[in-house]
Amino acid sequence: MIDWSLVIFTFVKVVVVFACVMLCVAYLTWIERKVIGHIQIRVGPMYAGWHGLLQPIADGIKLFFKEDIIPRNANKFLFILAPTLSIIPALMTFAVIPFGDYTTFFGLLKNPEPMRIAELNVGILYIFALAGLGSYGVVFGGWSANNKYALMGALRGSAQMISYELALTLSVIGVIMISGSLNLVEIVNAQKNVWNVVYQPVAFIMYLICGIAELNRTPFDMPEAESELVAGFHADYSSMKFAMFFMAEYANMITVASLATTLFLGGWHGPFLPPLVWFMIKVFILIFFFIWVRATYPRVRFDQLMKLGWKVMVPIALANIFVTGLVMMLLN
Amino acid sequence: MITSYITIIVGIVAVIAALSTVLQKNPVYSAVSLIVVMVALAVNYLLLNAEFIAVIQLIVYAGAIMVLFVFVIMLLNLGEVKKYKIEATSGRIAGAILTGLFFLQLVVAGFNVTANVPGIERFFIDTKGLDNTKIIGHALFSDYLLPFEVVSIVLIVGIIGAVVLGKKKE
Repeated sequence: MIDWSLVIFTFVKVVVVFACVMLCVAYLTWIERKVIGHIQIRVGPMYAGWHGLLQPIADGIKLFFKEDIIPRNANKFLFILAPTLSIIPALMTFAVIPFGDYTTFFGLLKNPEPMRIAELNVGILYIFALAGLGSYGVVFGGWSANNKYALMGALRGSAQMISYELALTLSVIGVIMISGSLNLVEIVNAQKNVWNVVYQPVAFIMYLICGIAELNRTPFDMPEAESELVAGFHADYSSMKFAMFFMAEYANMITVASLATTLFLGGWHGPFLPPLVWFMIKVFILIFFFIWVRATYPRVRFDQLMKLGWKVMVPIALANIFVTGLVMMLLN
Repeated sequence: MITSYITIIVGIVAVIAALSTVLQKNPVYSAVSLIVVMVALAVNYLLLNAEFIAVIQLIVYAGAIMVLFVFVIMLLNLGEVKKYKIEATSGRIAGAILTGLFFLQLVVAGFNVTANVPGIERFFIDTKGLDNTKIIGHALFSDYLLPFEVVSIVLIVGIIGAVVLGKKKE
């Protein structure tokens, strides 16, 4: 009745993807510090291992053994729940991301196995739904600490996430219209010859801008603006709870980059190299771009952020949908 | 088999969370409970093979509306609700009786549901092997085009109303 081989394969895939994502998350901190260091003519971490390669492990051990402080006036239940609410949706999104096509692992398996955990008919919407749930981590984390800076960060975070989620979702609709499916695998397969970025350049740029805003990264890092809000919503967190917020942030960064690759850059398609390698190259180029942007631009003001979201991004996204529909109708 | 057990468990979670929404004294806890209700309902839709509705439920209710609720509760910084006595006015008694009758009706209807309700066939849609999303799309833009457009007009009126109310008076 239950197909045990499917259960075992899925379990193995979940474990492998989880381990790889966690490794990437740890080493993204190193990559980010190194890249920003070199952009600012510094060298970044150098002492732990060769060129600081063991730095993420040292940081992890330090965070693990730090004292876990809960403020006396904090709302304990939500204070403990918030980091979990942040990281679980961030990790769950990897269930639908197609890392590659069918593979036999160099002939080891009899039947080719798809390189994805699950194939959902509503894959894109699933990711957006989880992204929406992820914002509760920021909101409750900031509120429960009972600290005005954290509350300010949480309020800014929720306002920003609602505004940019809308523009992000609208920017993707053009791609869905061209592919005719919400299934991420079918969207990738539809890009076998021409990547969607050729048809949807405006949507791609908008996706990147809104993606950075959704990730709360500079120049849109309002919820944790260091110079005004100390550290924003996670000002009172320490030890592993703080680490969980950070892991969620970096995992979300990988998700946004993976989704951009899947929707606009042809997913695993590419010549000569194996599909998985192509996927990784594209994802890491996008992640490098996010880090580059962080090192280049100053933070925008909050009212500028809101104006950009509602008065520029949303109208352009709607116009993009309209034009896409018009062109598709004329061509058919 | 397994799905029916999960349905029951998720249903129980939804009912407990719904009660908690009403009974909590702290408004933030009420909001958290309501989010749990929304997520539980989404899981139930998923178990009924309505994955599109499930995901939309999460995006619209759990992801957008409830974030706004929580936002407002935090902005107003509402404290715990103090206990107050509810007086039994005639209006309240009538309301309670009507609610009870409605609940009873729902229970009776729930136990008597069969597939053979007369006239239900005309709401069935030939799926033609399409997935969920496409079926909903086809239904909305063919059979239910007029209601769909009316709803969009109602929503636009709502948006314009909010803009007018939110605008500062000159």
